[in-house]
Amino acid sequence: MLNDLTNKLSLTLFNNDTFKAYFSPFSTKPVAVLMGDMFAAKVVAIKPENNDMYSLTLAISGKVDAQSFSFLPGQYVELQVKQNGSYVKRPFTISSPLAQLQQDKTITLTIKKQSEGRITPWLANAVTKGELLAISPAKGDFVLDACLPEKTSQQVKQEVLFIAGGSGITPFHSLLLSHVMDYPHINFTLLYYARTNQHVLHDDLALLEIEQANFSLKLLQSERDGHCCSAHLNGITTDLNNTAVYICGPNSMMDNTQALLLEMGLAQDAIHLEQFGLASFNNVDVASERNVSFTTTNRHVVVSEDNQQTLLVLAEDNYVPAKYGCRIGICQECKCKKVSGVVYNSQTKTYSDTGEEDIQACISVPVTDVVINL
Amino acid sequence: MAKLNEQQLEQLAIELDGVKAKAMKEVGSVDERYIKNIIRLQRTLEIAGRISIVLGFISLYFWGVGVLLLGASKILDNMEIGHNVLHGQYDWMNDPTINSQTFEWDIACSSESWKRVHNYEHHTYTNIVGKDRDFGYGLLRLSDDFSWRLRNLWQFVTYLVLSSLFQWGIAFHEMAGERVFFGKRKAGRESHVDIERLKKVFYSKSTRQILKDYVIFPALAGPFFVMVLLGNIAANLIRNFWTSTIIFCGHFPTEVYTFTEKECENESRGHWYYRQILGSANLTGPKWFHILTGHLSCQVEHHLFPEVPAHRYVAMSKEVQVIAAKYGIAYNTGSFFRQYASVLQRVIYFSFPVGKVTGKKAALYPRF
Repeated sequence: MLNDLTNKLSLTLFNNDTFKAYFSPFSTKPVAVLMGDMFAAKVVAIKPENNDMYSLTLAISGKVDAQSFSFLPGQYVELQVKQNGSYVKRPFTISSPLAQLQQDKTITLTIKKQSEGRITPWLANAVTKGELLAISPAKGDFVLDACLPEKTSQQVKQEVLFIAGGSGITPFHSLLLSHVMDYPHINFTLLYYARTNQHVLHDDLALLEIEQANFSLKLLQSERDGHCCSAHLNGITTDLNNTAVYICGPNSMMDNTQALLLEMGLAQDAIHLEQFGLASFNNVDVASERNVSFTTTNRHVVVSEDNQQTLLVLAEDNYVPAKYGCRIGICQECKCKKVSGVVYNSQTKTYSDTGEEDIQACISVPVTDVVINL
Repeated sequence: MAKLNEQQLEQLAIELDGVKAKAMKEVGSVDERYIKNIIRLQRTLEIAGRISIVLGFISLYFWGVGVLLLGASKILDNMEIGHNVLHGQYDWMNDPTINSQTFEWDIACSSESWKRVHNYEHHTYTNIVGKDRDFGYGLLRLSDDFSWRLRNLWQFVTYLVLSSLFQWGIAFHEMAGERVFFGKRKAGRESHVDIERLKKVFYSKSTRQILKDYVIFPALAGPFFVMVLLGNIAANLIRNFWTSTIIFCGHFPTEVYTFTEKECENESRGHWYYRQILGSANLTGPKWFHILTGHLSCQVEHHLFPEVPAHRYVAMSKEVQVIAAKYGIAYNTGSFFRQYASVLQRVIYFSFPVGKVTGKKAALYPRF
């Protein structure tokens, strides 16, 4: 009530929604932190894990509890950094256990340098200790089902199988270090695929395996052992049907492993996938030219084989102002109204309706002529 | 002037696209620092100005200085910050306080209405008589495309009144075009927004502005209510005259071209560029002058590249002038006093019932 009144007053007196916004240019804090939209996170350590991965440890300013910042192991946060004057957000999985947050109010994000990525290779060298960044509340549902209250009462022995591919280890590192000790009635197994000597974050896990009877760690070298196959799976559990499986890794690895598990008779709802990364949309028929019209700015773009892009990139390439956030279909920041036409959702691999609807510009590729309110 | 053919226009578009691409490549933290410095300056001027006006009870000098500071703050807010932010020049920063979708400015016109009329209509149909309502604002006869009416006889006075109330002219601009309160709507006119929305936005923004400058801030000064009220009126007047003057200098000096709808039907990108150069005029001056005009002193470059951060226009104008010279395109530029004198000349010339402009005068008021 009082808040509403002061905001109204601020709008009237200074044409800003809040007094804070009016004075924000005087602050050195990230604007999202100042506005209370994100949490302040100070860089306390940057540690290389191998040639293309590094860990960023961030101290959360302010309280760490369910009302303010907290997370469930397996979740990710969006990290906001400023690159060349521009705020950019990227989602990164929290690799550290819950205990680390409770003890020293820090979380660790383990980040893979995306080849040709705009942010991840740059970030490794750009951030400095003590720098103030912003993080979103923790998000994502790649969390241990068994931890949900209604399931913890079950005293039957449960099997949980984690399958990690390369940098897909990050959520499992947090999940295992947080949960193995707390859930002695669950048998945890981790199949960890990576190139030889590239099994990052495995030291803690190896130690955990020694200490805890209900956890077994299998490091597989992709050069030697190949992809996940039925032989690997048969070796670890006798009762696949009673096992919950969690898979995180490159898209092709997740697709193949999921297909294999289904083939072996596992139910679809026992398989959990962490959807990360932009799925390819190369299978759209690109032979014909399509017109994309941006109504607000009155721009018209012809899309053909050589500029096959998402609507967001098309907008930006043509100087159409478009809001965006994560750029991989997570944050909904780029949501805009499609007036007509069919778009292909490169993440859900589905085609849209033909009529008016809200779409995410960053993952929508025009399939027919499209009119969009941007 | 020999008109360019389609092949030349295509080349022109490639060259100007190149100028733009080169500038956009450099956009980054330099621009972030620049706009934040300007915003900090504006906030400082505003607060200092409002305090100084109240201190007028000690000495009227404080009042005078306060009015100037507040006027300058409003000019910066409207021109170098508001106008340019609303063009999306800083959207790439992803800063919600400096974003074209959310920015609101210290002027009676809502940013929402402004974006429709200015960013879309004026920038798309620049100087096309009948399509660009900014050409004469429906009040002034500024070319022989319009037939003379009796009221044009005193249009110099109309112009002065418009200038002094400029923020209200702009606020009312969209609704006037839609004939919201009076008059008949032109047949075939397409509306982008429904009338109720127009009214709602107009009332809520203008009410806030009136409350702010003429009720709340004066009331906060307690016994000095009238002094603050007068100070705010004076600051708004300064801003109104300045913005109106600069904007008139952008498109109405002599030798600026007008166009007809027919010439611009299905026009190429090159032709659009061509029209923007011919339909705009620049002002020369020192750096502080460019900043206070919101770099509309580089109206030509602004019209060619409305999305490029405006403080880059001065440097870009050198490249544009070279290209214009190469293609033999008239590039209209001059000192403030020269350009403004020619604006007044135009306003007065067309207030008389002169018919089609011919002979020597035709060069002053050229039609494409």
